[in-house]
Amino acid sequence: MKATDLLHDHGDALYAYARTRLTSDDDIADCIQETLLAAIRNAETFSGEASLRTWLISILKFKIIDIYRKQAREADFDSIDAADNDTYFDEAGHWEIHRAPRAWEKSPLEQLEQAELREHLCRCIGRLPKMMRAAITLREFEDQATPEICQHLNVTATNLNVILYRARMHLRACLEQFGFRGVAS
Amino acid sequence: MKIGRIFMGMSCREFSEQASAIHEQPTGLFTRLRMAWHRFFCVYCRRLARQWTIIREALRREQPDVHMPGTMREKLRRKLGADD
Repeated sequence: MKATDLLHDHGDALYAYARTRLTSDDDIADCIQETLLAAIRNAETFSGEASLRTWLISILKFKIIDIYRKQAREADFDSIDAADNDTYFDEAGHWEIHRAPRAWEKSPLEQLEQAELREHLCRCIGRLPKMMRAAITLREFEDQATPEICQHLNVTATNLNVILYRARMHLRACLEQFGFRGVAS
Repeated sequence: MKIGRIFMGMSCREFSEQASAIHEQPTGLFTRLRMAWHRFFCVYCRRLARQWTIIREALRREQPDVHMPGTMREKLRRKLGADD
């Protein structure tokens, strides 16, 4: 088994997986490179029960989580808290009229090809602060449970809830910025 | 405003926080009833909850066919070729 052969056969699948979870091309390339090298080094541990591609993606997944851990160390929760100004609500806790959810006249799933919608969502995820990006990716793409994510990102469950809440608020608003604006009723 | 909040069951901010938390942990019956009550009266919060569901479903869908850019593939091929 040669790394270049694995790249030829599984490069696109690894890239597709990494691209939705990482925003930097350099990070994506580094992760794929490390994955393929790790696969070659540990070829004898591949049992053959799962497909080779599934095995490679499971290695890649750990490489990506390593990057999230590193990013989480760089961006602690307090800095997110201070930087994230909550401008969605007024003092009484009601929606600011210009930030309130607009009616999506059509569901984006009908309005756009699904691939295109995902493209917008990935772009919006890329705009999130690192900690939010890591949290929402582990939660929504990887379907990881709260304790696992807390362990990876070294945050408490309460802080994780706040991070995910803000990420969801920003994602929805970002999608509207990409053109999903209906007429406010 | 206080009267409005009592009538609406909770503020929109609280509704949005609970609507996010509901994905993470079980929520009590009383909170769910307050949310349902608020949702009935608040068009914005109804939209928020529906749009979050759409986003969540879209994120969990299978990935479309994506190909590695040629430049990245070539760069990796050269790096890995040196290690082979």
